Amino acid sequence: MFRNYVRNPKLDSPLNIALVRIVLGLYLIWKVVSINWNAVGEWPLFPYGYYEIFAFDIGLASLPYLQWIVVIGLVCFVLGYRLRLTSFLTSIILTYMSIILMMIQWSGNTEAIFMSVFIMLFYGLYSEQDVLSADGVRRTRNRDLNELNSFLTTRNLPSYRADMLRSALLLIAILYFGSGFAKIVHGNPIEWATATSLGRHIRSSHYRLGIEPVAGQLLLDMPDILIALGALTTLILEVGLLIVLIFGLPLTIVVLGLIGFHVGVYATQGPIFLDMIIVLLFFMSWDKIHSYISTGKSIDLVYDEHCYFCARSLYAFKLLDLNKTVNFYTQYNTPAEYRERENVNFDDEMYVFADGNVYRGYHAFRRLFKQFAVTAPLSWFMTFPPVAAVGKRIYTYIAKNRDRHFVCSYDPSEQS
Amino acid sequence: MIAGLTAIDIIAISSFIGFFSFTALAFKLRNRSNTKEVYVGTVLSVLLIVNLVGLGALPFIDYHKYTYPAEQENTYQEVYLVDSNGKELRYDTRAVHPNSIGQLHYHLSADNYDEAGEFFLEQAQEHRSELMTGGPPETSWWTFPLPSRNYEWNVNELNEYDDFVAVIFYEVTMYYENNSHEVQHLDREIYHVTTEDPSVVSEVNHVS
Repeated sequence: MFRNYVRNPKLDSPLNIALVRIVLGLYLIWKVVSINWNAVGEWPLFPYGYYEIFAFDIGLASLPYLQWIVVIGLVCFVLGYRLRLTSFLTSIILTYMSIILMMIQWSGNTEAIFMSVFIMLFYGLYSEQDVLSADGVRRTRNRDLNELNSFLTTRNLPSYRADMLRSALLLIAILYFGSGFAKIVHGNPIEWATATSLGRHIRSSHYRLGIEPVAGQLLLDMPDILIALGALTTLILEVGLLIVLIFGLPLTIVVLGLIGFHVGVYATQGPIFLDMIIVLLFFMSWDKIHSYISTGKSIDLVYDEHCYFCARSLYAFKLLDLNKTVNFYTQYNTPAEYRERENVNFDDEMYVFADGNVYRGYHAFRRLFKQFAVTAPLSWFMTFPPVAAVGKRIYTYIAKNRDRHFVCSYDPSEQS
Repeated sequence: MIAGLTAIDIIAISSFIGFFSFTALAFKLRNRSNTKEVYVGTVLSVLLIVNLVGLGALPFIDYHKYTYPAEQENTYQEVYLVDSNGKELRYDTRAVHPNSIGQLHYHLSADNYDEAGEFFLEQAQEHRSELMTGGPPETSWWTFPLPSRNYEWNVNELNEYDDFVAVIFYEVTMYYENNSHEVQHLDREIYHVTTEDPSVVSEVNHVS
């Protein structure tokens, strides 16, 4: 259910790399737009003023503008556009903003932004591994048409390394390990893992925040032995994650335990560790889930072998085809039953043959989107008449002008 | 110290500039052998040391939460508003979002309390008028949840209060029973009051 990238960073598909990038970017956008940066800049004093050197007037006044620069950077990051540059510049600005925020809100909620910055930078460092991205599609221009055709029509794809996820997983494990280590070495683990200590921590937070969550009361009413067991398990899970990763022990049970612990804290005290739940989910086997919920029915796709633009456009779909359910054909090797059909011209449009139906042009793309779980919602969206009307016009324009604007037709003799 | 900078200032600046300079260098030399491994190895090693020692400089964070066993006594701070009739209302921290005003008194000097109090009073009045006019509170359904759930006002409750005229910072000490998480009693003492009308505060029916 969860992948140990530390032991094996190789994947059959680059899907997980892309999905984590998208979720990380959207999560950070959500956090950044949720904060009133005007208020942060206007705060009269900093209760946690260790970093007051960064609180110079121009910097504070710029926070509301920097927020939107960061959002633009994060949108580029989500799309995977110029990953190295966007991750670096966005990280610098976001780190600066978070340092100011930290002086007002010294909490795990803010610390999680720094954790995310490290992960973003790992993406920048290993950007060439993130092929299912705008950069990945851009890089296809460095491949010739023969190479792309052969990539599309082959059955076996290479494996993909995910060193950014490997580094990110180690980073998270180190943070947990440090938390558990501190309780054992700096604190007193025997006293910490008791119902008395954990119960006092929970009750104190209820009084301090002025809340009385039902789940919190229920937990405090439980037998002491169960509360102590919860505390001890937390300690073991925090220290255990790093050990499990290094020695290749079963990971899923530890990660599920940590998520369960965070959900428990959410119910009994509030969303203190919500960020950690999101971050731990990064390491799920999303490729397997995608493979499971994507349709298993095969479809046949026929595209123009001389069209460079078409081959580049289909590149991302090939990467999404984990179940190998899309048979890519060109007009020259397509099955005779399709070639012999009337009203079919493979030089003009792309075709998809599925479930006994023929889809052409815009509708072929729509049917292709429907094939994969992650793109299926877009397929549904593409059926709306206004979207379809605009989409068909765009497709027709590109199809008619591909020679002129999209470096499309290649003379096969030039490819030798 | 350099030009009036404290040791903490120098560490903070060095950590920020040093980290991003190192990152820029790694990005620049990414195609040389082992550059990426050295970068990741260095970052994770520093992070590990920071997390083992419990001292770091941003962006290197530690995640030490609830490190120590809870003591039999626990002191924290509560913030209350007072209306012109001397009636108290617990502070709704959404008014000073993104701060959660948990432990201010450990970090503010006494001189800063009036400044903080005035700010809290001003923000509370603004937040109240937003809630009363049906305007958006500082946090909405779509915003990322605050790190902790806090006490929140509602319109019916606010209708029972006149204009807010003072802010009281209480220091609360919780006493637990021996070897138990049951609360024995609470001591609540006024730590600081910010108001232009001290007579109102003298009439306050302090919360028990």
